[in-house]
Amino acid sequence: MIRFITRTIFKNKALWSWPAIVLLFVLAIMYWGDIAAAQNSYSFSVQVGDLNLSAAMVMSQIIGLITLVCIIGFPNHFSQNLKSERSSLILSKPISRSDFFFSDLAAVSIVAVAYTLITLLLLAIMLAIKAAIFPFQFFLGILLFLPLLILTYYITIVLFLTITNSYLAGAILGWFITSLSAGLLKIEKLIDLFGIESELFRYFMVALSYIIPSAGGVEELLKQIYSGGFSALDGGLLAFILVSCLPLGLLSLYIFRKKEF
Amino acid sequence: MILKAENITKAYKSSADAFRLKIDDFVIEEGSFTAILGPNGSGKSTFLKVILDLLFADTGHITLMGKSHKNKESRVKLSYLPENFSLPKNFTVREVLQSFAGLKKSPPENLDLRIEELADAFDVNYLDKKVKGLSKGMTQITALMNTFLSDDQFYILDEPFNGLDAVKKKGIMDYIFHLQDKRNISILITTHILSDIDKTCDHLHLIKDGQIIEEASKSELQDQFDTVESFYLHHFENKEPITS
Repeated sequence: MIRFITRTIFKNKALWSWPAIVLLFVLAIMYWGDIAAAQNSYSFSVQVGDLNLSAAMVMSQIIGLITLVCIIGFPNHFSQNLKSERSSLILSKPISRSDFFFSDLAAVSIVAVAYTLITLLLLAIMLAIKAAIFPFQFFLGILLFLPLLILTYYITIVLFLTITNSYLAGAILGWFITSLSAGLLKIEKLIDLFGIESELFRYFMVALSYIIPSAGGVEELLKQIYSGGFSALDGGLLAFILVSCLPLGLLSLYIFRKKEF
Repeated sequence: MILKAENITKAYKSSADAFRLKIDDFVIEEGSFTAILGPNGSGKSTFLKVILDLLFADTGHITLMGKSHKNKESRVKLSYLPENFSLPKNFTVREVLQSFAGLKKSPPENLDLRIEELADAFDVNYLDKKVKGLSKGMTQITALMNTFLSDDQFYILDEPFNGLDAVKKKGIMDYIFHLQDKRNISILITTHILSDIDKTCDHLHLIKDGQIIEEASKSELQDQFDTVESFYLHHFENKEPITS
């Protein structure tokens, strides 16, 4: 099942934009830009003309684009497989609904890691040619947390796809709800900023931050790695991200197991 | 016994026209060729989907290959061709067959050779053509190849001859007979085209408004009616005089 879904996702041309975006960036920097090694061993800066951009700033823009590509591309196969015409072919084989669900998550993870490896390979070539550096912790951070970032969005998208049976509704609602996690990460500060005094509201928002997969948390982790390597990594935040993926993930599984095709 | 369904009910409450499937007792023996016939919307496909646990029955119990139909192991030696199916459009026919065969617990040994053999049997010369470029008949043949690719014991075919010409239909039927002779397979089929199963079925069930209203064996049928069509029309033909 994992092989079937992986094959389907690799044939999704929308997702090819991911390595294409990175390739364009690398070619642009090779031709017009330059790379300077940072003082620490886990970062670098990109120079384009007079501009000197930190790795954190550049990567956050590239990862933003990659996330957008994934939100558009990844749900496509799942929405196709959810249709009665396809699912009846799959589920009439000795495959349970749980096998189907977990195989899908595994296949998406495999493809996300594969495309991340291509991304890292392209970046490594650029950094080696332009600055002769290999920031290992930077690469390891991206390898671990970029697929996790995509999964946080994908879990929410799968939930809404399963409920609505609509690719568009799944992708838009999944993106919107998961994006709220960045705000929820700083909810205490936001509540103080807006002067909201209701304790009930505070508790509700904190509870919500544990329910929505924390894409904002993953972005925060990546920033920590860009600035201070793995020694700066907040283990508590990592645990919070993993916990936040469970409620909607389990809810999706529950609804999927009850779904008729 | 290949299949036994007892006291099955399934109701659709949300639809404007409420529908209720009610099957009291339905059995398929090993090596049999059973057909379910009935008008559009009579519940044929719904019943097949309930058997496969694609739709959940409200009540009743189904045993498939000796196991509860809820157990995925009950589908290890089963193949199903749905009436409406969707194959991955950017796959070639060969890739479709390889991918779906991979979903079986034990895909056929020497899969590529098996695909070639099946392509010969079904007169298919478009294995490397993408699904999106296939005609309706070619897509149907691809789905049939997918159904017969694994060496299964029980085949559930929902309107398998949709979009096929007479020559192709005969080819498929010949292949099914060949499998019955070779491996004593069991077939459960639904079709609108009664002549397709006229001489092949050894058990017939007529279904109307979700209930089996009549069943007959081949010998019973031959005693009373010449053809399956006569049997069908006897039960379903509108006997009201046509008034202008």
